[in-house]
Amino acid sequence: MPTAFEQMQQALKTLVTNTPDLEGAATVSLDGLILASVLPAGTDEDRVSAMAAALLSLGERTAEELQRGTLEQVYVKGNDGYIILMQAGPEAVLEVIAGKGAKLGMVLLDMKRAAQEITRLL
Amino acid sequence: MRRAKVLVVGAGEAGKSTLIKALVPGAMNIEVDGRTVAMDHAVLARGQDMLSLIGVPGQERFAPVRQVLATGAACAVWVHRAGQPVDSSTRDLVSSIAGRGIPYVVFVNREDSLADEDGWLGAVDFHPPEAVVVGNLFNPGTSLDELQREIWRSID
Repeated sequence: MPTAFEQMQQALKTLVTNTPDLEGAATVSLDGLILASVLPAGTDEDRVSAMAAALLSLGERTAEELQRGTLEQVYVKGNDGYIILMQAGPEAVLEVIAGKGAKLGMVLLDMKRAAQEITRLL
Repeated sequence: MRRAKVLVVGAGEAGKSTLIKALVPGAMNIEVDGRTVAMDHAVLARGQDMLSLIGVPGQERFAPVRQVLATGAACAVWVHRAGQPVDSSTRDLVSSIAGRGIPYVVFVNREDSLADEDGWLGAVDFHPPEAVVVGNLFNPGTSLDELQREIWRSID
C-alpha cells in the first residue's frame, strides 16, 4: 500500500506526463517547505518552494486588497514559459512549470484535478 | 514630501512582525501559523514624509524573497532577539546593506531575556549601526519612540 507521499509523487508524475508542455510540478506547504516534486534536474527545491509560498500568499493578499474575491491561481509568464500556482487544499500549494507552447486551458483543467487528488491525500 | 522604504530584517522569530505591528497597529502581515512567508507592510508618517516599513520573512529558505524585498531600501532596522546567535543569512543581509552604504538601526528585542548581550554586535565585521535601541516587545515602554526617532534621524 503506497504511502500518501508516494501517491502524491505519483499524482505529480501523472500530471507532468499526461499534460502536454509541462516541464515539472511540485507540492509545497503553505509555509514554503517541499512536500513532493517532479522538477527538472538541478532545480533548487528549497528555494523554489519558499518562493512558491511567498508568491501564492502575496497573490491571495493582493486579490483580497483589490477585492477580486478568492484567489484561484497565480500566474507568472516568462519568455520561455509559465509558472502556475494554485492552492491544493487548506495546507498546500500546487506549482506547475510549463513551456511557452502550453495550452493554458488544458493545463488549468489538469491542475485542478491534480489539486483535488492532493487535497484528498493530505 | 518624501517617501522612503525601511527594510526590517532579522532572524526568524526575532520579533520583526511583532515590532512592525507595535509601531503601526493594523500593519499588514502575510503569514502562516505565525511565521511571515511573504512580507509585512506598514506606513510611518511624519508630517508630509512617509516611511514604508517592509518586514521580511526570517527563515533561511526565504533568502530570495529577502533579496527582492531589499531593493531600494533607504534604511534598515535589524531586529535582534537577545540571546540568539546571529545566523549567517542575517549576517550576509546586514553586511550587504551596510556595504551599500545604507544606514541601519539595531533593535535588540529583550523580551524578558536575562541573557547578557554585549558581545554579539562587536563580533560582526561590517559597518556599525547608526544606533542600537534596546526594548522588550512584551512591554516596549519608550523604546518604540526612541526607535522611530533613530529611524528618522538615519533617513534625514
